Amino acid sequence: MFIDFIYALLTGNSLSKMKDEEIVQEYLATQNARYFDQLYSRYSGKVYGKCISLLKNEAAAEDAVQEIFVKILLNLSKFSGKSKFSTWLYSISYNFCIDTIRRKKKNPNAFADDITGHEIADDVDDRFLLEMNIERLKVIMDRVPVGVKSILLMKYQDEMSIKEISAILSKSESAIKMKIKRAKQKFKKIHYEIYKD
Amino acid sequence: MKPNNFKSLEHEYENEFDTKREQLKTKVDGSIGLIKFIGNIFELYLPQVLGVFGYMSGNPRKKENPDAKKKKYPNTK
Repeated sequence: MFIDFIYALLTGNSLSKMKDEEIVQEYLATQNARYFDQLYSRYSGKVYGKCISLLKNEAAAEDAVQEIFVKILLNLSKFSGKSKFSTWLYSISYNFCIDTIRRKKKNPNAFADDITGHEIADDVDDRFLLEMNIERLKVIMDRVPVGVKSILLMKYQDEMSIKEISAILSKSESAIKMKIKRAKQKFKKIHYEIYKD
Repeated sequence: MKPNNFKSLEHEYENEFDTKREQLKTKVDGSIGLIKFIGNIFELYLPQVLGVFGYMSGNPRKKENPDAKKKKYPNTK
């Protein structure tokens, strides 16, 4: 903390007040590890949350966080700034977790098949998901397939736009809208199966 | 502000991660250090290794001009 304070005085900018994109630019210009440390302290918890939600295993989630941050550091120069840094970071995190699950299942279509094949009924209200008791939310998120889970996390936890999700999953915007609709229905169905209300 | 328990869930995981944050950072730094070390080794020795391969494949090393050594004063003819 003290070193950060001295550093902020010397450089004239406080790391904690800087935007992510500015930190990335400063890191690329100076290669100073302090900038990367700041990105790590801002996002490691969030990345861990996604990894443990998707991988359902603490040790695997920790390994994933480690590998994701190494990957990010090595690819930081490829960050173009077209999207928010957080969106770019989350896209790497989701794709890493999805690839890990695919490799374990040894089925390249394991993710794609998750949210297809059930009937499209009425649209589910967003409030049904957003206002759900957190303990129930945890139970249901543990039960839904990984494809459903990741799309719900992108939409409701990361508050990504349809366009951002479509870029991450390499699908058209209309396909993403349909996937979200189906994911909400799957969520509601599992909720009903468990709690009957 | 609309309630969002997906965000609450995220905060819960973040709090859980607080105890592991520093430990994992050490591991990340270790991995990055190793990658940088290997990168430096390559950067330092790759030209020599390529030179050796080139020499072994029959491309003789560039010989220095023997006349250049004879010159006592570099800027004179």
